[in-house]
Amino acid sequence: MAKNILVIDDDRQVLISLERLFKKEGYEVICASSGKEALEWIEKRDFGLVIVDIRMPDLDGIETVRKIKEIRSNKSKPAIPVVFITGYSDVVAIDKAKQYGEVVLKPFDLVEFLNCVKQQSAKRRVVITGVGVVAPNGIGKDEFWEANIRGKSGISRINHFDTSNLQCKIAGSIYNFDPTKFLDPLTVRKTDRFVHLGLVAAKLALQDSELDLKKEDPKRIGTIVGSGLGGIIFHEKQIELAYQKGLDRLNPLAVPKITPNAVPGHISIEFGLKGPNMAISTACASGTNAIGEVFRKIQNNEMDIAFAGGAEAPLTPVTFGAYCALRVLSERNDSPEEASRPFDRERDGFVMSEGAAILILELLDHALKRNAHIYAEIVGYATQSGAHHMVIPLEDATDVAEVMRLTIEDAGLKTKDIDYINAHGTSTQLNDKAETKAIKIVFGDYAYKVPISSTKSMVGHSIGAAGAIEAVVCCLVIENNVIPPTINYKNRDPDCDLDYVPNQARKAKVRTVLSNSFGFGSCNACIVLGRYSG
Amino acid sequence: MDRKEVEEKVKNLLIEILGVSRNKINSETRLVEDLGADSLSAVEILYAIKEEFEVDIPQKALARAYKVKDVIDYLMRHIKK
Repeated sequence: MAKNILVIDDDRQVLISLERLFKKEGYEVICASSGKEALEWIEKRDFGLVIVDIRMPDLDGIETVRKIKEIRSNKSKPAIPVVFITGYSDVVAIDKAKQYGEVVLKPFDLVEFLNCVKQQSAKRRVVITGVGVVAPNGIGKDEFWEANIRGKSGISRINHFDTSNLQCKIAGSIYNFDPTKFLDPLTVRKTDRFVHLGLVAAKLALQDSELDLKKEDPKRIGTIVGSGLGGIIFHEKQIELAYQKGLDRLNPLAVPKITPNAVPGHISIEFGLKGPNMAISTACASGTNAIGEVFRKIQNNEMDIAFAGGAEAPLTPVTFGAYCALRVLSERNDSPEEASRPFDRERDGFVMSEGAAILILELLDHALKRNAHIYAEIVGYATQSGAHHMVIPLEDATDVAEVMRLTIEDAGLKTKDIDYINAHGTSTQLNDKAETKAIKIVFGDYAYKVPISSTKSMVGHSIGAAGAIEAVVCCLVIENNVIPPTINYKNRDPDCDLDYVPNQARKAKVRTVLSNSFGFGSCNACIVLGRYSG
Repeated sequence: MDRKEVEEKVKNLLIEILGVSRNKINSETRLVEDLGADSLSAVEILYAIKEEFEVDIPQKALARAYKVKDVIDYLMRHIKK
């Protein structure tokens, strides 16, 4: 919520009392004693709300608001919500004012007035209107969703590099992905695989949203995309080349291909987006953080539409070998499809994947205006650090519990309102135990009732793309009222004794979903999505 | 390496780097005006030439090479026999 207000009134007493009232509520208040002074402020900065007296000498309230609108529109910025106040029952003026905003008559009840203002300044709601996904168990939302509800695994033996010296020989590789089917050959040549995945996911999402970018103001559209590792495939090849043949043999495309922000960079160039353009790297939480940060930026009026998500292509010898060395990967090499088994007692590590998902996030009013299909509304987000360890989760799980609690609070919900949890559920001994503990801390008795599943059991763990791919799952859960299963769940673990929707998808009325992502580096992030119902 | 062979190889690398079709390139084609080479693709062309012919074209020399044939001329003078 944009918490800065411009109050315009020629009555000094009114200014003082409104300033006091809103400051107490945590708002930042700027006072202007005339329309002219207000316009100077509007030129200089953004406001979440304008409160203005109708009757003022020189520029009256309505004329001031009309000019504010003009200034904003010349700067390609959206209108600011307005609350008019007036002590006179001038019907004509009030009717005119109502075209621009709410009207409150003086003397007013302070509590009621505050509620009216809160409603006005909370108007920037954010919805998801398009999804694009490229995952080991499906390309495009239909194939991907079908795989998820059927419990189809995307994990297989690695056959594109030699794993004979490695303990782990399996991964979620997308062997049937041909980037040239979607992208021009020049773009394919000039970018690394994580960009291929990310750009294709972006194209699918845009197509799905039916947005006509030609009709939009590019300055109000941005992109934030997560990646834990960047263009690591090309990077490894270049390092090998440099050490074997000499530093003078490095490819001139190395820098633009490797940089971790190559995906949002290419998305913004491809679609001509001139709003915020950045990458987020919080390891396994990157995708969720990217979506959450976009949510805040749209709420805070920094943009109206964005491409948000994550992309990762980490299946290359040295990087994969490094995860092996860390001993976090499953070694169930003889049955790849059964290797990722979150919450199962016999779980022995996660299975690394490649993939990408991009979601179109949009200001609700904008989506309604163009009659867009709305998958879900983003209602809550929180991100915090465990400040504990680079790779080991905090054993008492209070850090991840706190971030779940804050997210539900941000959504203005109670724990019992959550109908489904898409778990981080990596299939490592430590994560699944800690996450279960955290769900019990936050949800109490209800922890045993709320359905929880880890779609990583099918998709594997695509690091920076994981949170975004799981956000797509959450959208489709809300859309279809079906919860995908945690596959390979066979052996009950006394430490993990909740309802993990084992092995079979389940029909259930789902209005709200909590999605968890916990990253190496102590980065924790959650979002809550809700069904949009007006 | 004879001139025809060099020309063929230069054409191939231009096609790959600039994403242009073969019929757009002949020896009179201009790199910037006709093929749309920008400063990064110029550097890529230098790199590819070095990989293919083991010839280092200084950036200054490439700046003077307006046409495909200028590149080929340079290479014919500098390719080690």
